[in-house]
Amino acid sequence: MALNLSFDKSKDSNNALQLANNLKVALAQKLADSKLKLSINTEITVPELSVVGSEFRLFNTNAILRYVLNDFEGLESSETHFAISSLEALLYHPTAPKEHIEETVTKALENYLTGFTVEPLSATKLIIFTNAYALSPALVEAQLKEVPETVKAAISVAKSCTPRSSSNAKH
Amino acid sequence: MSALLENFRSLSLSNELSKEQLALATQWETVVKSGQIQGHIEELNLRLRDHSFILGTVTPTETDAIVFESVFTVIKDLLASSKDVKGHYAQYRHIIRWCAYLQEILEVSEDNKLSLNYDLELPREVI
Repeated sequence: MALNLSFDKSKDSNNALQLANNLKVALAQKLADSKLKLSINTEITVPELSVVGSEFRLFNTNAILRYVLNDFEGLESSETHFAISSLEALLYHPTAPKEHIEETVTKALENYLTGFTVEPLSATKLIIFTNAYALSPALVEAQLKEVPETVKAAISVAKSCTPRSSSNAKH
Repeated sequence: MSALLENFRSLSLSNELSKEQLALATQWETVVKSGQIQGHIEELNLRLRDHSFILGTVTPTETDAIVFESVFTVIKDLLASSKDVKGHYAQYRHIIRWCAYLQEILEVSEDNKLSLNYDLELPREVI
């Protein structure tokens, strides 16, 4: 199956949201089964997955990551609920108080990311890590000493696809 | 669990979902749970233009109930505003059709229901 993926370069996304989206796309790219033929479409500036020769299309990067990894476990878990309703919701509020962001990220680190080094990593773990990392890269890097090499490589790709702005220096 | 979701589960409509449908369920439920439904109304209308229900199933799924709960108030507010009612009907006609059906099967109380004007003459949709 041939898939087209694109990164988030949209001017409508704030920097943290863009980093989260791009990290999920980069993880999908790095962890995809070798049978999937993935191509990056640089013409599209919003995150998207499309299946060549089909009308199927996804715009949400959690769905893109889960689809590529074929991992839909834990959709109704408390972990997914926290990843979306707490962390992801904050990604849409770049002006949220720094203390609130750090408190939420710390909760994610303490409750859900203690075993982040154990591979294979589930899509749920990757989503919660990504949202926490995008909200506060410095805090996550300081507290999570060991990160799998694939994730490090994906972070590097995501950062290169996410234009830096003055807002991301804040957290 | 919300009352609407409880009503939905009592309907015992089961759908075996494909990988694509599970991904769509993830997508739309993420949109709702991260509080971003307002920004995806156009996309939802487009989805419902081409499919009876969000996941492309023949009967509604739990995703329909979850999204409905969030979209319902947005659509109600739009139709309740006095400005350009006909324009809103035309613009969101597919969501309105879907809401009209779901509010019946989910047994939304009469005083909460969308009150629809079926006599409005809408412009033909150009696809």
